Amino acid sequence: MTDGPPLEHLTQRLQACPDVFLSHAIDAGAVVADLIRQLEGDPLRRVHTQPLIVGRSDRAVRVMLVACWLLADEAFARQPDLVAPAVQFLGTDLNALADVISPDDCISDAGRREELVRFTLDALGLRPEGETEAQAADRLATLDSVARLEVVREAQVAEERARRIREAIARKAAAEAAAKAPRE
Amino acid sequence: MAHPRPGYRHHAPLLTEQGDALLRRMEQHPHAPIWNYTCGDQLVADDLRQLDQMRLELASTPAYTAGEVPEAVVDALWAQRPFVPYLKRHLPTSRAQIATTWADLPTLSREDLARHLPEFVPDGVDLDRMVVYSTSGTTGHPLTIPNHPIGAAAYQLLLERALEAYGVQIPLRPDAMANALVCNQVETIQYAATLSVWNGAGHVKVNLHENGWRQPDDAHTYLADFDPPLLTGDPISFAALLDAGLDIHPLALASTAVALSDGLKRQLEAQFGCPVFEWISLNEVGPIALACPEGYGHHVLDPSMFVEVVDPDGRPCPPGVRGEVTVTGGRNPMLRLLRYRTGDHASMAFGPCACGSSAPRLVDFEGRLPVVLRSATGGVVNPVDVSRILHPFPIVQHQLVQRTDGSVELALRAAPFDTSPIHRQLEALFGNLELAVRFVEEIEGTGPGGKVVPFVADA
Repeated sequence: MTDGPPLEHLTQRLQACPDVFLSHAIDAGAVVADLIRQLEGDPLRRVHTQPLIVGRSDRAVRVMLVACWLLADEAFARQPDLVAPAVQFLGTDLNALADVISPDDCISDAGRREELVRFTLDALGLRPEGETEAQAADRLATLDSVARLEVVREAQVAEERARRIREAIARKAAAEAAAKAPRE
Repeated sequence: MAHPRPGYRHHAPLLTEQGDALLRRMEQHPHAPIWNYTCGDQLVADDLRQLDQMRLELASTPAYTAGEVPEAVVDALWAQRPFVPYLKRHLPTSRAQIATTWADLPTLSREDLARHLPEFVPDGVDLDRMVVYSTSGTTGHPLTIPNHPIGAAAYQLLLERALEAYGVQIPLRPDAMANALVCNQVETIQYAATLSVWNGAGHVKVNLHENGWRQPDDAHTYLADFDPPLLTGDPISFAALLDAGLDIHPLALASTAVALSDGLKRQLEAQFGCPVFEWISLNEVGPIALACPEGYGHHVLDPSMFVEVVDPDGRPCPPGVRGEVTVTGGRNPMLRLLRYRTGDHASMAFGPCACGSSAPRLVDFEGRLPVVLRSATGGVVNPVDVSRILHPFPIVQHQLVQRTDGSVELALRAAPFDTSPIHRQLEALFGNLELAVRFVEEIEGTGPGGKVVPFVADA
């Protein structure tokens, strides 16, 4: 993991994301293609963006567009090594995040802004400038909406399971036990 | 084939015509106790096949030495790990590490179990087949323990093993009573049943207390007529048998629940001319250990159970060093416990014993001592009757102390609730004695290892 741009710089950039990225008035394929060319440093490169668009939910595409705005920062430009992880991130990894946070929140909510920035840097193998790997990982874990939701979901499942068992015990306590020769 | 008693099918799916005839004889005997409960073994045919397999497993002797975890126990834990939330969280992720990291695995208290009981119930068990037993235990934490008809029937198989160790074989006939479980309490359940795992032989639970019968001599006549070859119970109930001078000829008496004194054991042996043995058993995991026939402690009985003695930090004590008896495994399919602290204390001994067994032994086992409480008129009050009164209430832990002047103080660890029903029932039990019920934050442990003793009678 190498040093990336300062965290604050990137969160400020997200805050300044133009409204058009949240609307349907923008060609998502063109935005992704422009981003990849910028990362590649090759304005003439042919880019196939359909796999990143077709079949995805509108919400996932909008979150991807916000992430594209973030990655279009000059700090990432002309770094061909970032193309592969960026495509993987935009096309796949981001889906889980898009399931739990809205495109609007990625811009307007301070916690979710920081989460998207950290999530993006982590996917690219970068850490915020001035942070150690451990600090970056720790802070990301604290903000991780996907993991947090998973924990909540698991807790709900465990709670429901415990409720069923306690109800069965209460029901059976009122019923007859099985005969056995000795007592305790 | 039609069930001989359609309305009783749920209680005893395998009841036969012959079993029904025996049941009628036991129930309708002119001197029968006042039956107040309906109960059968709830076993189905497939359960019997599993119990046959279990009987084969029980033919082997528990064999492990200091520092070892039995392979059978490791295998069982590893197999249960994916299905039991607590095991999934606390056992290592490789089978090999279970034994190597054993001493670092957390121990469990009875309070842990009370608070997080569903964590120990495996996924996928059929909750409709659950059976439930209540216990006040040795530490005053009341608990409701889930089990399964197979787990209940395993007691009979382990009793067979215990009887074998004492050279006794009881006849298991489908037309005769094999066992009477005797109690001596103001109030308890009484029922008759047949036990499929014992060839359909008869079993009754009866209360020797006068409240349990219509006429004063009924208990004598009833037990003498059926003359059950095996009597099970606790020392307080067996002491009542001595008083009763019954004309019965048991082949063995199996005592549990509280410590059986040598004096009472000798008296019972002299009166009945048969072995009288104590075994240590917990509702949570079933039978743990059997008194050595030669008097050298208590032998671990079940090869599926790992009995260890640990210090307060959960580290296994070396042989000969006293600590808390802690158990893993056992025969309760509805509750899979790991390093469960029983609240009882002993040391461990390994190697061949004078009795011929090579099973590990608990030495100087210190379990619950029998406590006799007294009513205002001087009558015996069995602590079990107090447990019965307290059971319906949401109590974490309790301690009842009777002072030398007869006054009774009950301390309850619980979120406060209206205790007037408890007060009323205790008054009925103890009569006109000074009686106080209060809530406390903590109950001070006065027993071995700081254990809370639930019933205390000041000398």
